[in-house]
Amino acid sequence: MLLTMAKVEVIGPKKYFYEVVALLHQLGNIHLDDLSKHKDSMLMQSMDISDEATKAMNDLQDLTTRLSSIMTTIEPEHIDPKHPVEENYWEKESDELIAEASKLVGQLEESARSIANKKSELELELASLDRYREVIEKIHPLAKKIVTLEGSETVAFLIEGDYRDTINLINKEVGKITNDQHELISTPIDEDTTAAIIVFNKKFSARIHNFLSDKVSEVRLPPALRDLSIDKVLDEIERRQVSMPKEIKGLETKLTKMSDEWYYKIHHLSNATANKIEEIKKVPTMGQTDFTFVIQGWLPYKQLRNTQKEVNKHFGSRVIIKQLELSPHELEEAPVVIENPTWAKPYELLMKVWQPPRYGTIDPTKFVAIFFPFFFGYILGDIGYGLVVLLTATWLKKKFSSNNEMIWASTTIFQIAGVLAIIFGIFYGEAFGTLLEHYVFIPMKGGEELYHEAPYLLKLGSFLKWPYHRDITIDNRIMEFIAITLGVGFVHLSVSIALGIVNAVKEKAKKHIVEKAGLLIVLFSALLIVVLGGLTPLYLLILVGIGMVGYGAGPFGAMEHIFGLIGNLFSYLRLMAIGLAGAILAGAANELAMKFAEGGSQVGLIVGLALAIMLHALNIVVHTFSPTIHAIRLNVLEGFGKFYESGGKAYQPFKARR
Amino acid sequence: MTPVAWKALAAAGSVVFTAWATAFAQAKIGTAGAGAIAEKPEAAGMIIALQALPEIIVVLGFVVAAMIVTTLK
Repeated sequence: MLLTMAKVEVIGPKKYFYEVVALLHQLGNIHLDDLSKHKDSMLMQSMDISDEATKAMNDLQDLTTRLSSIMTTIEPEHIDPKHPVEENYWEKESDELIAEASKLVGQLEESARSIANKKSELELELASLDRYREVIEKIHPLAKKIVTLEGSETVAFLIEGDYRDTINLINKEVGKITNDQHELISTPIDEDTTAAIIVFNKKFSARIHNFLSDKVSEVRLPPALRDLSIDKVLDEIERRQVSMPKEIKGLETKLTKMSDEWYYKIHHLSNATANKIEEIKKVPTMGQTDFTFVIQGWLPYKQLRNTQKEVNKHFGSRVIIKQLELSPHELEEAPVVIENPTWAKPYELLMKVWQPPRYGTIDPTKFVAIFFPFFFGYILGDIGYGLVVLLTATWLKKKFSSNNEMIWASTTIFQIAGVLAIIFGIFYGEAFGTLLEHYVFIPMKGGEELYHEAPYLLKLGSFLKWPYHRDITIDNRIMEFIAITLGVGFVHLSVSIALGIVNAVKEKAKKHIVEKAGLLIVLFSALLIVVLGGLTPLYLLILVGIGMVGYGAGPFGAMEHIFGLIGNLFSYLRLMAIGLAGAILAGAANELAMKFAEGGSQVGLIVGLALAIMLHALNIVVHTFSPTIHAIRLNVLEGFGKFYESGGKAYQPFKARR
Repeated sequence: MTPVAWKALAAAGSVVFTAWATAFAQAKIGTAGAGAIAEKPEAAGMIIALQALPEIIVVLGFVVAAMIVTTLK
């Protein structure tokens, strides 16, 4: 249902302008009209953002970024979205907010950053210590063979197996640098790696590091370990691996304490600064005269009184909020608010894919809520498959839908669709294809032959039969099923055209009323011809209907509409065909599995069972996706095509963050 | 060829040609649709519906095939 909207105008002295904007932002129900686009008034001009406000906005933007950065640093593990706001920040002026935010940033930014940096440095080092330990342990036996003198430096490096021979070349080149005043020892430490250590006088340090950096992967230790001998490095690594987690824990405690004390305050303050920025940005969409400000916008009519009361409570008679009288043409500009009862609410998700309906026309959500699950069930129609869809949707809903409206809506849609598939499954007598037939119906009838002679458990007259098997080998079943499916299409199309007439009446479009009524007459006359036979008055009625369509849509339009109607009607055959294909595949999966199990061997039984599960799983996936697409398509193309008036503007209220 | 073989051939032809026609149309719509969605994501709903549009061809092919197999004597 589309809510009735009211257009309101808020007028008051300019000195209250920012306060009123802040209040409306908090109330969060006005969809602002951009007055800068309506330059039809000589007296009213677009409101300007003053230099002061521009400066405040820049400061607020800077502070919001810095507050967000602090929030990220001290973010708690679980955020409570309903944490109460302790202060009425929204009532504060920009200057007050800037002062408060600056104070908080000054107080916390540096300490939060330094603690977080220190923590991440320690975590990084701790993570790399294991790697260093591994390498040092490898070269440790080699280091023992080397005697280091005062003023000498040791460099260790690892060489991959394929390049082992380069050690001699490196030795030669290092010799050239040090005039052979060095020692190089190497040893293979495993199949792929050779470790090498060079000891040389510190005065050659730069040149040797420079030379080695291009050729080998030097073992570079963190600064704290670099000046220690290899023996001591291992001890130091061990010591640090014990002490560092404690240090990290200490820093974490500091951050948690900071988070407990400040997180929500910063969060609310940051929201307040962001809100204030948005308020300033919206200023040019509002208007002004010499002494007053003017704000125009839309809100649901049922919220008008409350909004007026709130404005009155804060500003008394100094600020006026009044409803504007509108012409039908102006009403077309109204944004659209869709509100539906609980049973239809999930289907608003499907409607979000399309442009909203035009204000004043019919909201098709309830139409989709009735026909989507019906079509889905009609196609899938299997107790087993329906149960799988229902249980999967229920599980997904329980697991993921908290705080996620989209998941809640989509899982609810599939829960309902699953139930309808079960109901149609009972009607068709299908559970995982032919299982019900094999294990219930045939034994109940006393054998396969007797069952095939009369495959119904209940039969009243020639039309009411249960189970209504989707089995094309039954005499005349295909024609019967086609007729029933076309009947379903007839109902859907008739409802769609009737809704089209309602829309045309609402919009006072006389030609459309005649055109849609003509289509309905053609459709019903054709039905009567099929049921009663070709009576002359019915043919005349069809001609009248065609004439009416021609009056509304012109001769070519009439041809398009009439042929389109026939095409639309036959399009519903997909309901039968896709469902039938799914049922045949499910039956084939059972037949194949039973062939394997026929011999009576255990292996055959297991293979047959595995095959059946696999094929049914595949069939469920394909035949859940397919009915979804086709049920949407039938509603959108065949249904909406007859009545849906798109082109509505989505309602986007000017609403503050909380 | 026996009449049964002719029936089977006719039914197979009905499905094969309509399936090919559907695939051909869907390939064209799919390519154009993907481009349209890249440019205008809000058109996704309509493109999905359009993608399902040509399936009526194979659906009717299947119905005709089923009618040939089950009703033609």
